[in-house]
Amino acid sequence: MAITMARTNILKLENIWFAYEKGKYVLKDISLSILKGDKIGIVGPNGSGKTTLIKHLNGLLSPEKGRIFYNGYEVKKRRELTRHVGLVFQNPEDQVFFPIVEEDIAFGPRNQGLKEEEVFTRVKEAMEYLKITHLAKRSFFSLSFGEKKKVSIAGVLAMRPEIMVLDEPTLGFDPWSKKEFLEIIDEVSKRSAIVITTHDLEVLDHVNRIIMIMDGQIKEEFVDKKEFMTKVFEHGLNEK
Amino acid sequence: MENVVLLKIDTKSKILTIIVFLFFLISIISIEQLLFAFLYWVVLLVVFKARIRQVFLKATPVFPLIISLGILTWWGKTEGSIMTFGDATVNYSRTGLTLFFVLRSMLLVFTALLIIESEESFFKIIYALDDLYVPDLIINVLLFMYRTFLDLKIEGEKMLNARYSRGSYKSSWAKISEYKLLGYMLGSIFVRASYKSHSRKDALISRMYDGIFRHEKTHFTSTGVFILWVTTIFCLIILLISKVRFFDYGMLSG
Ligand SMILES: Nc1ncnc2c1ncn2[C@@H]1O[C@H](COP(=O)(O)OP(=O)(O)OP(=O)(O)O)[C@@H](O)[C@H]1O
Ligand SMILES: [Mg+2]
Repeated sequence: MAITMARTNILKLENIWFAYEKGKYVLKDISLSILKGDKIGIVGPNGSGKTTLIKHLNGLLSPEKGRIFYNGYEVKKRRELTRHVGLVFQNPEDQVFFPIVEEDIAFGPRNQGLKEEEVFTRVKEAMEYLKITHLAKRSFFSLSFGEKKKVSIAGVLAMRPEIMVLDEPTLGFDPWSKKEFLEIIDEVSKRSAIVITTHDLEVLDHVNRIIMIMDGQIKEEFVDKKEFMTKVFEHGLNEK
Repeated sequence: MENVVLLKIDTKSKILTIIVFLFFLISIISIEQLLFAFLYWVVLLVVFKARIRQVFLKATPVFPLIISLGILTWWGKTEGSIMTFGDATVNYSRTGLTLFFVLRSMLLVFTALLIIESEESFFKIIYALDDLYVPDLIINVLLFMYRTFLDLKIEGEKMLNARYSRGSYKSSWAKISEYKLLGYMLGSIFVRASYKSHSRKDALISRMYDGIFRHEKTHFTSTGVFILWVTTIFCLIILLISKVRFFDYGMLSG
């Protein structure tokens, strides 16, 4: 273990501050680097700013103060980030635009300007990954919550982003689907870096960094679930 | 299997057929022409496999408008009004003209609805319009209008379900409180839908939508083109022989 390869830094946030309402900071001085091959789990209580933070990762929000670097270059136009970072929304109904499942999954790849055959392969692949091929022609609105969630994940998966960000992906999954989903994440992480916000401790078995956010600040970073569990649950956070 | 594909009428042909037929409907002037138009409409209904019940249901919101049009016509016109198209002229009584306008307006609405009812998804129609070189701006407006309508519908259904599940469906519509509730519901449907459209913007940006609506190309099928030709020829024939009288006008003219 003496030699550790320096992994490339894909995305770097530097001292990010953000407020929805003037003066009330939701993110306070957040610095974070996402490296190639990273699988990051972001944990923290409700309202601590997880969703707000990951909206900065793909340029939906821009920080009030602070800088963002992509592959070492500072990002000037935040929309550039959408090209490289795919975001799966917390609520699938907010994300899906087309009423037919297949059409919606094809939407992202088409916007990337891919040829129709390539779009077709990507859609097929994404649906096979998530085992939703049988839903291809269904109306999105008639699906169950878990199925909707899978469709929204497939829609981003088909875009093959360099970094895939998922907001509460396992919410509403049955135990079998969750197991399958975590296998998919392991598979996808071979080609994309992964960032997952979650309240689900099971997900933390599949990540290699755990970042804990409290009250808009990065409270602590853990290398694995074991360390996280001992520190957070055995000693309690406030004792430190 | 190939027959099935060949017999399919593509959306582009459907739209063009409907446009031709609408122009025809605007041009006709006599009750006989209207009768032929109606018969042809039935043919289109069958050929397009549109569901007649849905067509009627969707048309109902427009009925009050058509009735008003009828009343206006009746009040506004004097006896013996004359309508002309080319060389053809028809002399109408006040009632005859009102009847003609009302029936024709109905047929116009029913025809426009044929296209909507014969496709399983409205997006197919938007694809076809895009392939028929309708400007991007109009395509986008249609796209978002339709999506917003869908949101309204879904939110409305959700609210009704929420209401029923709390067991309040037995209340009478005669009560004033019901109308207050209805108003409240309508209001919140709009609020919810507008919240939705806000988050929708985020969703579109993060999936790299840049205002250009990309989709699979739609193609003309031979059956579709055939129907378009038949319709065009039918409309032209009916318009050209409109000088010929099929019935005596004694009944209608003043
Ligand atoms: N659009 C908004 N306008 C104003 N305040 C907002 C907005 N969105 C979020 N907030 C506030 O910002 C804070 C952080 O919200 P955020 O959604 O990032 O939390 P979260 O960590 O994702 O919580 P959860 O675990 O419940 O998903 C919350 O206090 C929330 O009320
Ligand atoms: Mg959240």
